[in-house]
Amino acid sequence: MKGKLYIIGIGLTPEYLTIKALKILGRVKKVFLDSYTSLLVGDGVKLKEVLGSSYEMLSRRDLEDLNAEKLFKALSEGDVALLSPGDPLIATTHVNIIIEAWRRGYDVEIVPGVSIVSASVSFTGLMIYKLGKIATVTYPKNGIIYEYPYDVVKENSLRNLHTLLLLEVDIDKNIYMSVNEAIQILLGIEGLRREGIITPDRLAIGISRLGGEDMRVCPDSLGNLMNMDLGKPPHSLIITAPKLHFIEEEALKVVKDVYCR
Amino acid sequence: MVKYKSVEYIQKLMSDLERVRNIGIIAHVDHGKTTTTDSLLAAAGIISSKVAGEALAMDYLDVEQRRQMTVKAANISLYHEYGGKAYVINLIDTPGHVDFTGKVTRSLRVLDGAIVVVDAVEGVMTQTETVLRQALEERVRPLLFINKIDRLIKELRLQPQEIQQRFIEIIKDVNVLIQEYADPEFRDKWILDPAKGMVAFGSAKDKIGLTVPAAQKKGIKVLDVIEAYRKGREAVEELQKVIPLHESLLDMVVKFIPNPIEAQSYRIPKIWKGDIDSEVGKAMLRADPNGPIVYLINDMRVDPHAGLVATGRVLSGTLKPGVEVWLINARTSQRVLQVGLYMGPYREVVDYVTAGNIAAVLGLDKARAGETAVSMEVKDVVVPFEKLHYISEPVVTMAIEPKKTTDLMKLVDALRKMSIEDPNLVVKINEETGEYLISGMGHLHLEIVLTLLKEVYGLEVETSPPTVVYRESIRASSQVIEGKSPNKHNRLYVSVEPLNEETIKLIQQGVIIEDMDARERAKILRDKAGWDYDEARRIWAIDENINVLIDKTSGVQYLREVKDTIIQGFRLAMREGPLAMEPVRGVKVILHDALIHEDPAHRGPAQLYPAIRNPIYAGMLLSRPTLLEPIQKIDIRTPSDFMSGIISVLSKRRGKILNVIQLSGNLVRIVGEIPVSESVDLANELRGVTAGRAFWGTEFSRWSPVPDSILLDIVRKIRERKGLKLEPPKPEDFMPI
Repeated sequence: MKGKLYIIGIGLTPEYLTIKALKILGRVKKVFLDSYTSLLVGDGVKLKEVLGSSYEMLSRRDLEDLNAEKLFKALSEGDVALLSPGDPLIATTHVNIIIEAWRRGYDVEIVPGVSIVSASVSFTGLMIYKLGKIATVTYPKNGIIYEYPYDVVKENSLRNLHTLLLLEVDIDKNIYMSVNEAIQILLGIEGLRREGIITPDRLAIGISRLGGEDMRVCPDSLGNLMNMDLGKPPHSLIITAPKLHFIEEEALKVVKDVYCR
Repeated sequence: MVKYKSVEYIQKLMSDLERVRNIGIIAHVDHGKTTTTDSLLAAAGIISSKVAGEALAMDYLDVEQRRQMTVKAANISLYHEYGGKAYVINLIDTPGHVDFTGKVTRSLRVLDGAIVVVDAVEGVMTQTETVLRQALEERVRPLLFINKIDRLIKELRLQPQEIQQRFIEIIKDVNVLIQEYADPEFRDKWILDPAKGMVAFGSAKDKIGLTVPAAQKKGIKVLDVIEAYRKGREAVEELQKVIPLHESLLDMVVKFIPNPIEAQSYRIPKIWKGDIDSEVGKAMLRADPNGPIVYLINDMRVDPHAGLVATGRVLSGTLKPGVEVWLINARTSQRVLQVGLYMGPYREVVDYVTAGNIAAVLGLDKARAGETAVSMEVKDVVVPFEKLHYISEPVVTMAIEPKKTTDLMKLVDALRKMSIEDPNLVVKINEETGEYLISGMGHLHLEIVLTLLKEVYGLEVETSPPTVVYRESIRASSQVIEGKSPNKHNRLYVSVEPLNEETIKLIQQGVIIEDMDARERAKILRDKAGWDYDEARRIWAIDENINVLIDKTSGVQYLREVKDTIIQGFRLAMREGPLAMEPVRGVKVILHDALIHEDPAHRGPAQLYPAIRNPIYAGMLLSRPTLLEPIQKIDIRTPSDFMSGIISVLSKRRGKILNVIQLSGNLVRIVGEIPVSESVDLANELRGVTAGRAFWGTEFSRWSPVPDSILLDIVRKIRERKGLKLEPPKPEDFMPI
């Protein structure tokens, strides 16, 4: 019997799971949890409370190098849900699994979750109309510095747009980039490019553990943020547009008082 | 008759280059290089008089100790008087074993002359020929010493006329090589004329040596030498006083080897590829002590007290402590901490060393043998003498561990030091088993390494049986294959094809290197190896095992940012091929097109390494893959009675006979080839079929495809040894959905 594949976003924390998602989780034969695309805020206990203990973690190796064999094997035996932190298709490559499942003749359903992309706008009071292209800041690897986020900030800034920067996580290796490290890397690229895009006095918003009880959202200069301790991961960073709308300016003051205590 | 001279005196002498000679001794293995060096050191050493006791102590060192010193010193400076004048002769160490081909050329480059030692019985052998040819190519002037003449008398019991005939033959053989390999302008001048004293005859073991002029002057005839050997020990010792070897050899050197100024004036244009008319070029031609520093390092050794010691020739300028120099290959600057001269085999600290001389330098620990160090102000204009290229191709590997487990750190340290001193020794850790693996140029090379571990470092080790290293290659071209990253969001379109022989040769010789002007490289490849110019312009990488990566894409977005990652992935893939995880050799990889994910989070090394590796592997498996095995050249001299026995031994081991040459005295020379994998225990078997009467030498010759009939069998054996599943993978295994 051919199962149906549900690709479900958990949201920022397990408490963000939608009622629709919960209903599906209650009736599928097998639940997988993608363990590598992002770190779920809130402890595993909460997820266990919601799901029971009947889910299996899938590593990057399982889903990518081994071509999701486990998932397709389970699909051949019944309905399957693949859970992903945040939204399952925002800043992930899971669309590939959907395409492959469809190609193999399985029915597919997508259940979105609250993503860092929308939540970062929600919690900062910035305007979605002014959100530009998104990019990930990655650690230099084997001596290669990835300048791409710098180019994205540059393009967005020219058009007076905000840039949401996701920071590299490698859950297998227990590596989570902090806002401090991200700023250092960006300033390093500025040192190479010298185009005056990333400067210590530029306004940005350091974000950590969005949606969690201990979340922080701190608007400040990059120079100050570089030395600020934002606590446990995951972190992200918004480099604001060069010129803010007056409502945005006022909102940021409130945000600072409420979420950056 | 050791003469004691002070450092100050020698340094003064060295500043007058007319009184300096830079030479080396080259020989086929066992022809007597070490004994010749020993006899020179013993008789004509320069010893510091700083501490007379110390100097004397050295005179009484036993033979073994002195031997070790000779073996260990990078240079030995000798003092010699000739025609009433004093001379300093720098005797620079050249590798004794010809498997280290790259090292030989490197050491030859700092010499102006060489004494070629030939065993009177064995005559000119493969390695004599190889090294002499290399010397001539570097414009090093050769002189000849026919050694072990006692063997002609005692072992072969030849008559005086026969002995003379033997000498004439050897001289003729050497002269043929000089005619053939010397540059035209030196051919006639360098032809060895025994009457003028360019050839010495003698026995290094007994420290006697004679040239024709010396014989005439002293009234000694060859007959007297024969007579002395017939009479016995005492008579030979008597002769030693009359015709000491060092005198004949060093007289010959002073007379015929040019001084450094003269030598540099014609050698620099040959051995240096830079602009001779530039300021630096002119300074080197003149060996100008006031010019910019150019210091050619031919040797790096680890001194237990001083750390890394560089030895090399100052071609221009003056080296002083504190001066900052640029290391061209290491691309970094370092400060000279100390400069020294060699006094005998010892380093003596001095205030400066001027152009034309051999200097020992501390502080350049980032340099490796072959490095060119120059003054900072000319760092961007000087072309290095030797670019980093791929000479060494280690072909035999063994696992090694200390007998006492507590010695492990000591072993690791010793191997690290030895691999600095000997760039052809490759030390690796097997990540899975934690074993240390050493790879070398042949069975003999690794035996030397083990001997050094024992003698120099006092380490007893256990080793695995040596295994032969293979290369993986292809014999056809593949179509374009799609490679996907694990997340399927990146795609690379790749094809592979074999590199042609000309290209492989150009890369092996270092004519074509990764780090050179792309247009210049493309011109050479077009003119000499039949490449399409535009394709040659697009070379991204050339790896150490002679594989080339070419970018034929156009307008691919984000390619710039993943270029280096793709290159790294290519290099990794070339290190372990698909058949048996042996290094790949001679493959051209072409990237035709690429689709790259926009965000760096989804196109890191974990995604792109497989995306380039998989299509390369699939392509190789579809292109008549094969293993290349190392082939040795073997050169045998034997009484003709044993010829058929030898030929059957060689053919049983998949050997080939290339040439059989009739020599005088019922001797034949057999030149052949044999796979390294078939040469284990060859020595014993050859000795067996020839009753120990044959002499032979081997050296690495080339890589050659293994016969198809045994290919799969060898692949399975290697895979088994490596703990892989026995059957090699199929192309589909690298073309996932």
